[in-house]
Parts: sequence; C-alpha cells; structure tokens
Amino acid sequence: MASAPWITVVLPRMLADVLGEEKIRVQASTVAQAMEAAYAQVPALRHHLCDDDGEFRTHVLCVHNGVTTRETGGLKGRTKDGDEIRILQAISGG
Amino acid sequence: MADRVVVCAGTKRGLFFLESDKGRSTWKLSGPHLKSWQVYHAVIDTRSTPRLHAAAVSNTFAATTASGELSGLKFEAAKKPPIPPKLLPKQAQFIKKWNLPSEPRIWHMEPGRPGEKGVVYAGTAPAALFRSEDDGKTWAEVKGLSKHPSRKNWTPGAGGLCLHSIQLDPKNANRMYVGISSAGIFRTDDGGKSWKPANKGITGFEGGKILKSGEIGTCVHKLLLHPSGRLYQQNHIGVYRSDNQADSWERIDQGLPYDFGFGLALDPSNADTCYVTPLEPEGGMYRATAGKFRVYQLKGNGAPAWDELSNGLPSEGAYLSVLREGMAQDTLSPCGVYVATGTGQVFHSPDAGATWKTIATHLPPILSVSAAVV
Repeated sequence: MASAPWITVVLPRMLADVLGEEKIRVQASTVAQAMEAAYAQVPALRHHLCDDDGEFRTHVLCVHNGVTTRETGGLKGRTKDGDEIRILQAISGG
Repeated sequence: MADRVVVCAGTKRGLFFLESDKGRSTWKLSGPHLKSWQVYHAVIDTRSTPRLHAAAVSNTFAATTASGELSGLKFEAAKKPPIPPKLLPKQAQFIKKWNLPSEPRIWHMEPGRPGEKGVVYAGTAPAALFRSEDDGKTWAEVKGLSKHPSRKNWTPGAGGLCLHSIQLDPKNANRMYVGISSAGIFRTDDGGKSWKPANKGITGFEGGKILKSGEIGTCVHKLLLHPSGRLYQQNHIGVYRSDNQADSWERIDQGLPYDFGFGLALDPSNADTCYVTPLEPEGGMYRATAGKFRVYQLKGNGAPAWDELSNGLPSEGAYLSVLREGMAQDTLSPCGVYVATGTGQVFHSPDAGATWKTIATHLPPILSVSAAVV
C-alpha cells in the first residue's frame, strides 16, 4: 500500500517565533490528518489554533494550496505529495 | 561584564528593551521581540542566568507565556500553557452586559523566591493563579485559590476578571498575596493550599462601604510588597498600605489630586515611600492625566502626604494613561523609577523621583514596564 503523501504545514511568523517551527513536515491523506500530525509534533499548536470545540478560532485561516478550507468545505480535502497547508491570521475590519 | 539595567516595555505590538549602564543617563532601544504579540507583562528573572518571562496575548491565537534566556533573545511559548478556568454563568452574564473582555489572557508573570529554582507564577483572566516549576515550560493551576468559596461572587472589572498582582513574602515561603479585579486581595499562609480575603479597611465598589475582615468586593488595581514586609496598593478608590500582612489596610491617598490610578512603584531601599500616577477618573473609560503629567511620591511614614514630582515631566498638553503594569522600579540606589504610557512614552527617574526624562517615545501603546539589573 502506498504511504501517505508528504505535506508541509506552514505557520505564521508570529507563531513560528515562539513555537520554534515555521514549517512542519507531516504525512497525511487529508487536511485534517495533516493538522493532527502537526499537533502531535508541536503540542502547543492546537492550543493556539483551536477553540474548546476543536474548531479553528475565529480569526485563524487554514489555506490548502492557496484556497481556504472555509471555501473548500472543511478539513476533509484530500492531499497529495508536495501540498502546502498555510495557517494565516484572518484580518477583519477596515 | 559591567552591570546594566534592562527595562522591558511590553506593548500592543511586541516587547521592547531599553538598556543602560548603572548610571542610567543614556538608553539604547531595541526590539520589537515577540513581534505582533500584545505583551501584557514581561519580567527578567535574575535568580540565575537572566531569563525573560512574558505574558503574550493575541486577538487571533491563544494567549501563552513565553520564556527564554535574555542573552539569546529567543523566547519560547509554553509547551503546556496556563489555561484559565471558565467564567461562572453570573460572571459571563456580567461581562456580556457591560461588554467587557472575556477572552482568556495572561496578565502577570512573577518569578519565585531566590531558592525556588525554576518556579514562576502567572496570573490570568478569567482569574486564576498558575505555577510553573520548570521555568515556564509547563503550568499547573493553583486550585486552592480557584476553589475558594467566594469565587462565585468575584465580579469582573473593566479589564475582565483578572488576577494581575502576585507578591511573594521573601521571609515566609508559605505566604503570598494576589490581587484580583474586582474581588480584592487574597493571602495564603500555607503555600497556596488555602486563601483568605485580606481587604479589611478598603473601600468596596458597592456603595462605597468599608470592607470588613473576610469580605471581598473591591477593585484593587495594583498590589506590591516591599522587601520590608509593608504592602502598598493602588485601588480603584484610593491608595492604601498595610503593616500587618494585609490583615487591615490604611488609606493614604489624602492630598493626591485623584484617588484613581493604576500604576504603583516602590523604592526597595525605603519602605516608607511609594510612587503613584493619579488619573482623572472622568473621561469615560479612557482615564488619563489632565493636562500635566505628574508622579506623586509618598512622604514618609506619618500622616499621609505626597510630593508632586515634576522636574522633567510634561506640564501641559499631557493627557496620558498609565496602566496597571505601567510603573516599575529598579534595585539600584538611588532607585530608578519608570512610568510608561498608553501612548508609547517611557519616563524615567534615575534619582528616586527627583528628576525625570523621557527615555522612549513613539512606541506602540505600552501595557507594561519592568526593570532589572543584570
């Protein structure tokens, strides 16, 4: 059976500075699995990104290959080798 | 290496350092570190190799503590951060009604006593006390305080329900004090297992009644313990001191232009004085100095009287706020006093308040200031 693809989870500079990791390499078949694998590598990451229900906090954006998971309908999206999941701060207001 | 003074200015946009030699005449600014984090408080732990502990808050990500050796300028988030308990329903309703902050935050960092290697305390909102025994990597809630029977009656202040003051008795390893807005002051004599309210003599926020022994319901803004054992506090209503481990408090703000203020500083070599920056309480939620910026110094031990310190401070057009972590002192003699504003200035006196100068300006809004000799 083929192994799961390799994905890179990229953290925003603000978090990377204090967590000591900017790019987390994981093997995962979905975005959700990739995030779980990232949390396993950097346990404090879940605390920073997720609320008590395990959902992303209000102003946390998860972007899979340039498209936010809000647009793709959640974290079920399939991944392939070389994909990038980028965590961003959603900016609101004007 | 010659001793130097390092001032931490925690701002809404990171942490800045101001450094000087012991003469404290010229200062070098560096930063921001912890860029983009709101640094509610930062303190340099000088018990061994100087180490920074910071309270880092964000509107996007969860609040955390960040710690690391000062020389490395690399400050790592806690692996197991302090996660405050939930507001009780009545407190949550109060917060919603008055549109007060409710997001969990970290307000204050306090290194342990000299012999308590690796011990650090943190105060949070919602109000709780946390203790780390590994220099801030992991934290555990001090449940004895969180389970206090009065907790259901702790009322949030304008900054939320926050534990913002932590003071350790240097002579009694089992005694410490905390200040919670707007519950009041609590003291433990058994290392945190049990706590009792210590607000006798303080004006409460409900009807202005003077609190009796065991009562809560006062909005302490800052609590400091002098090495001699004397306690001082700047309250929402008045300034107080205590010479009996907070069993009772004496009001001492007679002569100040306003009884309202947030910041407080002490002189480590003189137990009989303290420094405050009274703020005009009018003006809605933006409490500020009313045109002239003044620090006031308590004159000695007798009937309360204050010196208005003005030499080098702005005398007109100064409508500046000073928040609860906005004043600090160093440990040199004469002591240095530092006052930081919500509009990015740091005023400093190298001579216990006699003269002042501006050592930083144009910084982001300053939430906290502290000073260490390293």
